[in-house]
Amino acid sequence: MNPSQGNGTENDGTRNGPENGWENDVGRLVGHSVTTLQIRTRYEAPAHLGEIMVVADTTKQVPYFLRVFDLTYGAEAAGDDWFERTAGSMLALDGADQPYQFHDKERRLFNVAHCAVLGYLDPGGHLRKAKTLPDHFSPARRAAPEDLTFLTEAAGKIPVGRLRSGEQPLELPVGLRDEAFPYHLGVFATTGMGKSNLMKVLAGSVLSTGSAGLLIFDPHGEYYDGGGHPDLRGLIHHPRAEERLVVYSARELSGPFNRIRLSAKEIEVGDLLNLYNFTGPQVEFLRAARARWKQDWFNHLMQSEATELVNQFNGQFFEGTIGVIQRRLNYLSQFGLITQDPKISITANILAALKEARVVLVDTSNMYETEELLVSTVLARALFTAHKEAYGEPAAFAKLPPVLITMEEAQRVLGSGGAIGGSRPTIFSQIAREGRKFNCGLAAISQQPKLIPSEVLSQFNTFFVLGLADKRDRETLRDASKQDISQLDKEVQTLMPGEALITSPFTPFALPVQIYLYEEYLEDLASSGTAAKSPSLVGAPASKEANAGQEEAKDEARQPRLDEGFY
Amino acid sequence: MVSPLDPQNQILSDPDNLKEGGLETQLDQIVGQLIPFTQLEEELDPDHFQPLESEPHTQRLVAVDGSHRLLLDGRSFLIVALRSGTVTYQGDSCLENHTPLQVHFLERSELARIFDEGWQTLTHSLDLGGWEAPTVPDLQAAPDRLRELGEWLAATRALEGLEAGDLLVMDGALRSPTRQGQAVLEALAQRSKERGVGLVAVAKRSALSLGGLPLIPALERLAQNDQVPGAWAFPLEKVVQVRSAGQVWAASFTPGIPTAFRVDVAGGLEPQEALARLGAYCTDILYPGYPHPLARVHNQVFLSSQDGHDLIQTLQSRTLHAGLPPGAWQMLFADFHSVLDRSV
Repeated sequence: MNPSQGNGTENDGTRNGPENGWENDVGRLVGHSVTTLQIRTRYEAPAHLGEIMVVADTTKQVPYFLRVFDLTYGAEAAGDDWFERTAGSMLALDGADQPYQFHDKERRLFNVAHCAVLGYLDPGGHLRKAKTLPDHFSPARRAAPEDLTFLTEAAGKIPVGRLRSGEQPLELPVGLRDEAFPYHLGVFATTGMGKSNLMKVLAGSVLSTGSAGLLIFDPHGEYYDGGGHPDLRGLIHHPRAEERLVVYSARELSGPFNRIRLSAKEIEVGDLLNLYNFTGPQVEFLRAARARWKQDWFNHLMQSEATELVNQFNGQFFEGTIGVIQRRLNYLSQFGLITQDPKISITANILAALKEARVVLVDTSNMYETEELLVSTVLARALFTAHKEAYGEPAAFAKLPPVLITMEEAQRVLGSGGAIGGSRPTIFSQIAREGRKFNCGLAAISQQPKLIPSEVLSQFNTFFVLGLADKRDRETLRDASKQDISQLDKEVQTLMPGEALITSPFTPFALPVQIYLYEEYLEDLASSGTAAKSPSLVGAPASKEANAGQEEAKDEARQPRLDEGFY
Repeated sequence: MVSPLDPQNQILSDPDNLKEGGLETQLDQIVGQLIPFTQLEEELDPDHFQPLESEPHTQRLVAVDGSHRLLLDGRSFLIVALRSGTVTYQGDSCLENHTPLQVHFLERSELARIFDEGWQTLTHSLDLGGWEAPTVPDLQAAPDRLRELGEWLAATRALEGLEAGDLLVMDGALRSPTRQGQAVLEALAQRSKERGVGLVAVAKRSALSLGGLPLIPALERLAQNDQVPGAWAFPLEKVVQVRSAGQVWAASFTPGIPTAFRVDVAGGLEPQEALARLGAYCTDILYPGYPHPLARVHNQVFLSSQDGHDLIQTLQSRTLHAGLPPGAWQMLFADFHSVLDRSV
């Protein structure tokens, strides 16, 4: 027998032949259970963590889909300590400076790929949970894009990357359905793993499709033009930016933008409660002021003396209590963000843009955190309230596109004891709990999902899991995920920048994805024929008053934020 | 030393074993036999160690081995699987494996027929016309003898295809306990010499001894203690008289690996040259110090318990399908030992 023919195993008709590409012929099933299968891999065709394998069951005539979640060594050798003994021989010969060989390595050595069973494809093309085992020794091969076309619908119309099998991106776009937006997204990654790139790609995709509204708060100043980095691109560079992107900023930008201004009349007591911890009497006073002066409460408190306010409430509140509140309102007012003119506000224009399924970028990168949170809180509340009110009018509500609010470092506004402190529900946690009914979703971006309460996290249907170094963060996501990712811990640990898992009830299993690099994504858009329009004028005009207000900005008080890392 | 009062050592705590002249005494006597092993090297002259420089062998090498497995014991007959064969190398490349599997039903007359047929083929090939066939072996010894016969046949066939400078490597020694067997090996050695082919036999386990103690381990120890550098060969004729169709050496082929083997060398190459060429094949890290073609042919002919199980299953299935009642199969091969073993 010619040794090149292998070890004498006859072809039983199930072996992948060269016509299928030997490099994809990985090995044979050797065990183990209905949820976890093991493949002995060919020496020359090692499997990779996260790879998707197809097992051809010739008896049932259905393909099974597996995902590699662990790899271990194997050898055709006797004794549990064979590896150690062989290494000992190598060390001895190394010590004697003697050359040596390893004959028949291809036959003796192999890897065992431990795989989660994703399911089998029924004749109708639907992936179903496996309740039986594939045939013994069924051949396994790497999945090709044509094997996975059943994912096309689940992969959604808003692509963010390509399906990935192990380290290999496949030519199968993967993303989100726009109807997933109201069910909230979580984007979780350690610094430098690609959160910002992912969000730019997501925003770019929404710009391309125009199927949803997207409100992006950008406290790091990286979405507009790539943060000024010469190699990076921003949303302004998207070919449909002129048509669909609306930009608001508190700092000067390289192109046209609208100055962020809020009217004091649109600030609610609840917005302040999102920013500060207040004592019981302080909250009572705020509510009393709101009740007495309606929308003028903020201006009234700013313009009155504390002693005068004590008298107006017949001494119900101490002067010290009122003083604390006034100092905080003064602090918020010092930057020129808040005007007393009720006509000067960006809120209405932002709501209108989102209603037209535009992408609204609010660049708060030179704001202090309190300002930034005030802006995001007021706008998020206004949007949520608008959708909630529209819900009462079914005809109007049906016309509203789904909207998504993206919040960086979301643990600050969703967690307890975060930057804004306390355990009081915020508008963001309220959106997380109630938003789906009103077609209003939240995209929580965080490096520390463990700081988000599990009850809030459980409201998020879709997770983008990028590289996470912290075990507690991974455990938190494992417990909150809508799909079982308990076997994928090693895969998450080994995710490289730009690699992600998408877990969602809209997909049959946690999808491994290679997120597009935003700059390449733009190039692909350009090469695919999408006309790039000159981003000479960005954004729908805000009210005349708001534009006029930008002249009053006091930039000297602002400090730029530090980048949190590049993709 | 384990105390007889050691409660963990039940076998020594048994009063029956502690009687005078009993187990304790026997163990002490055995200890007395083993201790002199460390003094054995005093009887060996380190000057006989010869350095062994491996020499790349670019010509062909054929390695021969055989194995057998008793499948079923029908008391008056045996069913045995036999596999003898060769692998052919040129340099590091394995050119060919030839390891056919045979299964025999051995009862007295059939054994005689198979044995006689094999012997006739062998003597004809080696021109041993003057030799009568050896006595047909006892049934229980038959598998060993048939395997041996198979190896000799394989070696004889392989030799026909070899040329001057090639190597024919066998497993074991160029020695047989029977006159006829020894004649076969002598003829094989002579034929090798005539063709200029080096004939080498490597024994993984040698019973050669000095004063009742094993000789090869004593040489390994001596080489270590005397810090013999590198690979070495030691002509055993300097120490003991050994019956062989060739010259008998001990050889440690790989520097850094102390393991040595008995190596019988005959045929058309000088012993040192044959050993040096064989040394070039002792580079496989899985079998340090051992010629990897021999390891390969060993693995190729090896009949594992799984192989045996598969063959028995196949045989049983076919027999039952052919009409033997299931109970009859059980009765044919019932062995009361298995009943005893279950209740040890």
